[in-house]
Amino acid sequence: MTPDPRWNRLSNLFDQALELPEEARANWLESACPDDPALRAEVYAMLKAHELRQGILESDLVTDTRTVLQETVAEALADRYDVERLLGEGGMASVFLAHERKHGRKVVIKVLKPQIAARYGVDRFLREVRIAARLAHPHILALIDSGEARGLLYYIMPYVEGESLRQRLDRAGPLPIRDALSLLRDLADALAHAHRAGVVHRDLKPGNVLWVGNHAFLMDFGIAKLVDEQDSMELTDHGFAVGTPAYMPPEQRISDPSLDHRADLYAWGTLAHETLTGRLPLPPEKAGEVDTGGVRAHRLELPESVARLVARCLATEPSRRPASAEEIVAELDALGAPSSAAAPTRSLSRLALLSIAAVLSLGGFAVWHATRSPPPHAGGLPTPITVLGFTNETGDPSLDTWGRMAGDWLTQGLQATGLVPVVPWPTALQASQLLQAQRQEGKSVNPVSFLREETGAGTVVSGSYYLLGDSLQFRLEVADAVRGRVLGTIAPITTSRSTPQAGIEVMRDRLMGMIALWTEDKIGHARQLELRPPTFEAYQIFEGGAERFRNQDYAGAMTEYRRAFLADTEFVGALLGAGIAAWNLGDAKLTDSIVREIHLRESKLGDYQRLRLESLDALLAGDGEAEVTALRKASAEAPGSMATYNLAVASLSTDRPQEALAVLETLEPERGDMRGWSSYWTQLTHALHLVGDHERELKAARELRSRYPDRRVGLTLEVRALAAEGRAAAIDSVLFAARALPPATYWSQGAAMVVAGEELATHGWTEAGTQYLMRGKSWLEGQLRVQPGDESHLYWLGSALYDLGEWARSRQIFDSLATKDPDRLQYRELAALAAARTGSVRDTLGPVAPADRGEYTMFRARLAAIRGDYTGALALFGEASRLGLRGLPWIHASAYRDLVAFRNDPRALPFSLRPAQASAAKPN
Amino acid sequence: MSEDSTPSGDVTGLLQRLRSGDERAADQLFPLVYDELRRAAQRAMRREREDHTLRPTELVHEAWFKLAGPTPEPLHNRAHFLGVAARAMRQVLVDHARRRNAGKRGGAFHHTTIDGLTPGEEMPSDEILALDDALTRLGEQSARLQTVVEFRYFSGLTDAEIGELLGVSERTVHRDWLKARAWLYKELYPSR
Repeated sequence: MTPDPRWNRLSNLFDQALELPEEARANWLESACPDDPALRAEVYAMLKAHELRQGILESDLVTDTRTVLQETVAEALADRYDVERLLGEGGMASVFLAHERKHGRKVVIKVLKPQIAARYGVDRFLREVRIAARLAHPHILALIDSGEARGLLYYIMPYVEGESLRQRLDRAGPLPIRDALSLLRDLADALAHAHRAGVVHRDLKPGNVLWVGNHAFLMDFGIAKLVDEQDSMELTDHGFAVGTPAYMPPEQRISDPSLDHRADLYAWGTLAHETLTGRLPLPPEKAGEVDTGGVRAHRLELPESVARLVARCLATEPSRRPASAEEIVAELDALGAPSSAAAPTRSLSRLALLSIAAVLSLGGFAVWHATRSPPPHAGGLPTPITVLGFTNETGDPSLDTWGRMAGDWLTQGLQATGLVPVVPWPTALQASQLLQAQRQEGKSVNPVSFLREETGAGTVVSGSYYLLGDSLQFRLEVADAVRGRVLGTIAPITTSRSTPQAGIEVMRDRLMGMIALWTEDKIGHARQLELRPPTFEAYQIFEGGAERFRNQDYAGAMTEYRRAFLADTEFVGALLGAGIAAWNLGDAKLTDSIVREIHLRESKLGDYQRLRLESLDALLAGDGEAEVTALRKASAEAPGSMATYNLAVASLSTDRPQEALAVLETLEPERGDMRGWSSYWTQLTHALHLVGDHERELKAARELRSRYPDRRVGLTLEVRALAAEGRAAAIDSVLFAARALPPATYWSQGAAMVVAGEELATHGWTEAGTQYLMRGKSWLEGQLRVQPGDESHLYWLGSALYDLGEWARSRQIFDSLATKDPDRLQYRELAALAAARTGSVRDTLGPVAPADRGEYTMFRARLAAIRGDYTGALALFGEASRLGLRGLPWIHASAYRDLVAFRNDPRALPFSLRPAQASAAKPN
Repeated sequence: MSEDSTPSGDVTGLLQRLRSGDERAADQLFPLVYDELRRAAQRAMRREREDHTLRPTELVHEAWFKLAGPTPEPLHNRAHFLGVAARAMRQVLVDHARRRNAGKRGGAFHHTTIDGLTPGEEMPSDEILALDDALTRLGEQSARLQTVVEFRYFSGLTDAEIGELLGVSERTVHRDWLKARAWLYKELYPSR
C-alpha cells in the first residue's frame, strides 16, 4: 500500500493537536493547516469526536426497547422463572411479574435498565441488592435471589398481592386510626431494624409501602444510603437530589452530606400525617413550626401523644426529631398500638409470622435475631468464620458435592492459618443444609444473618459455582455477619470440570491470603498447606460416611470412611473419621491401627484435625488429662463444635462435672453439630446428676425423652433423676409409660429398674432400692427365658445380682460374658469383683490395653475398698479419674456396694464417689 | 467427534506456521476460529444459567481456550491467535447484524438469533454494519489502524499485547487507537 500524503498529513495534524491543551487545538489547527480547509475540517471533526468519546467503541452493551428487555429477562431466567408481564417501570428499573416454577409461587423480578446500568447505575443497583439482602425483617419485603444474567442485573422478591399504601390512600382515604397506628408502628420497626444495620431508606413514601391484610411491608431500598459508606456523594454528583420531594426532610433537599437516619423519621412523620389525615403536612417553609394541632385538626379522635410524635418527626432540625425509630416504636407501644406481627420477642414474632405466611402464602420471612452477643474480633475481622457450602448454580444436581467440598476445604484452609477461630465444617455444613431446606420450603432467608444465628459466625464466607462450557467457575464472597456487609470477593476462578479440586485449591489459597491480610499483624504467617482436596469420588463416599456417623451408625460410617480413603489415599481426613468411628464402636484395637496409619500421613491434616488426632492418641494411651488438653485446644479453634461436646464428655470422664456442665452450657442444642445429636442431652443429665442439680437433671432427661420419644435411654435417665430424689411413685409412672415403647435390649425396662434400684440405694433409700433391684432381676430373668444368652440382659442381671449381694450367681454370669467377649475388660473386672466378694482373689485380669488404664485403675480401687483399704481406694480413684474413666457418671451408683463406705467420708468429697446431694427424706 | 471438539493440535501447528511468517496459515486458521466463535455463542445460548455477560471479547477468549487447549501458550502464540480471532469475531458480528437486519426488513423481527448473541448485549445492527464499513475504509488508509481497532475492540487485547504483536511500542498503539477511534467516529456520527 502506498502511503497517501493526504492521510499522512491528517494523521500528523491529529497527533500534534492531541499534544496541546484542548482549548488551544482549534487555533493551532488554523495556523498549522491554512491551505486546506477540507482537511482542517476533517481533523477538527476528529478532535471533536475524540473529546466527546461517545460511540459504539465505548461499550458493547446497548439495548433499546422494552420488549427486547422483557424477552431477554425471560430467556436469561428461563431455567427457573416464567416471566409473565411487565408490572411497571421506575426511573432505573423495570419490574416484572414472574412465576417461580420450583416453588410454584409468584415473584417480582426487578431488572436494572441496561442503559442505566451501562451509564452509571451498576454500583448503585448492586448496592440496593446488597442492602436488600442484609435486611431481613417481617416488615421489609425480603429478597429471594439476585444476580446478573446476560448482562442484566436483577433481584427477585416475593410477589405480594396487595396494594401499595399510595393506592390504598387514593382509593379510600385515610386509614382507620387503629389500622394506621399498626401500620405506622410496623414501618417504624422496619426502619429501626434497617438503621441498626446501618441503612437509611431515604425514600420512605406510601408508594414504597405494601399494605396487605393489615400487614405492612417496606420495600425498595433503591436509593438508600449506607450510613457508613464513604462514596455517598456520588449519588448526588449527577445533579439531582435523591428521593421524593414531598417526603424529604429539609436537609435531604439540599443534599446535605451529613444526612442520617433522622431523614427517615421525617419521612415517617410525613407518611404518618398522610395516613392519618389523607393530607400531606405543610412543607416546613410554609408551616414554620408545625404545631400539634396539625394532625389532630383533621382527626380529632387521635390521641394527643400521637399528634405530638408526628409533629416531632416533622421538625426541621433533625436534632429536634425523636432520636431513633426505636423511640417511635416504644412510644406507639406505650400507647398500645397494635402491631400486626413484629412483637418484641422472638417467639411471638415467629408465631405471628407463621400465621401471616399461612394466610398470605408469601413463603415466610427470615427474622434477624440480633440476640447474640457481639463476637470477638481478630484484627478487623469478627470471628469465628463460617464457610457456607457453595451454591450449585450449574443446574446439575450431580455436582452438588463440589459445593460441600469447597466449603470443607476452605474451612480446613482457614483452620490451618491458625489466625482466626473457624466454625468446623460439620457445623457449617448442617447450617448450610438447613438454609437450603428453608429455601426449598419457599422461605426467603438472608444467608448471612441465618448463618450468624445458626453458627454464631462473625464472618461468613459464601460462594457459588457455575458451568462455563466445560469448565467450572467458582465465585466467593466474604461478609461481615454482624454488620451484614460484604467485606470482599475474589476474582472468579475457572477450572476444568473434570478437576474442580484444582480450582478449590486455588480459591482456598486466595482466601487464606485474604484472611491473613485482614488479620493485620500476622500477615505472612499463614502456612502453605500440603492439603489438597480429595477426588470427587472419594469425597462422595466420605459424605456418605459422615451421614451415617450423624445417625450413630458407627460401623457403617467407619466402612465408608475407609472406602473414601482407599479411593484417594491422600485423603487422610477420611481416615481420621474412620478412627473416630472405630473408637465410638468401642474397638480400641481397630482405632489404634487406624490412628497409626494416620500418623504416617500426619502432614496431610489441618490443625483442627491434628488436635482431634491428638485427642484420639490420648484416648488410646488412656490419658484423660491429655485428652482434655487436646480437646480444649480443638474446641477453642472451633467453638460450639463436636470437639466442644467431646470436651464435655472428657471432662466428665476425668471427674470434672462442673467444667463439663459449663462447657455443655456454651453449646446450643438447637444449632450446628448439636442439632439432632441426642447424646448432648445424655451428657447434660450426667453433669447435672454429678453436681446434684436433680431438678434440672430431670428437665434435661424429659427434654431428651420428648425429643427422641423412641429412644429408651431418655426414660432410663429420667428414672435416675427421679431416683436421686427418692420419687418412687414417679418412677413407676415413667416405667408404666415406657412399656409402650419399642423394646430395646440395652436400655430395657429391666435396665431402668436396676438403675432406679442402684440410685435409690446410693442416695440412702436402701429398702426401696432393693425392691427395684428385685423387680429388675425378675424382669430380666423373664426376658432371658425368651432370649437366652442375650448379652445386655445378662449384663444387667449380673449387675442386679451383684447389687443384691448374690455374688456367686453374679460371678457366674460375668464369667460367662467374659468368656464370650474376652476383649471386654469390664466383664473380666466384674467377674473378679464378684469373685473377691466370695473370697477368691484374682489380681491379674490378663492384658489391659492402654486405653483401658482408667477403667482398670477403678477396678483396683473397688478391689481395695472391698478389702477395707479405703485410703488406697481413694488414691486409686484419683488416679483413675486422671486417666479418664468412661462411665464415670454412673460409677457412684453402679459400684455403690463397693463404695458405700465413702458415703459419709469427707475425704471422698472431691470425687464423684458419693452422691452429691443425699437427702434424709424417705421415699414416697 | 462432537461439534465442540476441534483438534487443538491443528491450531498449534497453524499458529507456529503463522509465527514463522506463513500468511496462508491465517487463512486456514480463520474458518476454524470463526466456527468456534459461533459455537461458543451458541453454547452460551444453551447454558441453563447464564452468569456472565456475553461479550464478543469473552467469546474470543473462550474460543482460544477451546482451540488451543488448556495449557498456557506463549504470548506470541496467543496473540497470533487473537489476531485471527479479532477478524473472525468481526465477521461473526457483521454476519449476525446482516441477518438481523434482513429479519427486520421482512417485518418478522425475532430476537432469538441463530448466533446466540442476545439482544441484551447486542450492538445495534445498523451501527455494527456501519462500523464494519468504516473500518474497511480506514484500512485502506492505514492497515495498522484497522488492525489495532480489530485487536482491541473485537479481541480484547491490551495495548501492550497489540504492541508486541505488531512490533511497535505501547505508546504508539495507544496513539493509533485514539486516532482510529476519532476517525471512525467522524465517519459514523458526522452530524455531531
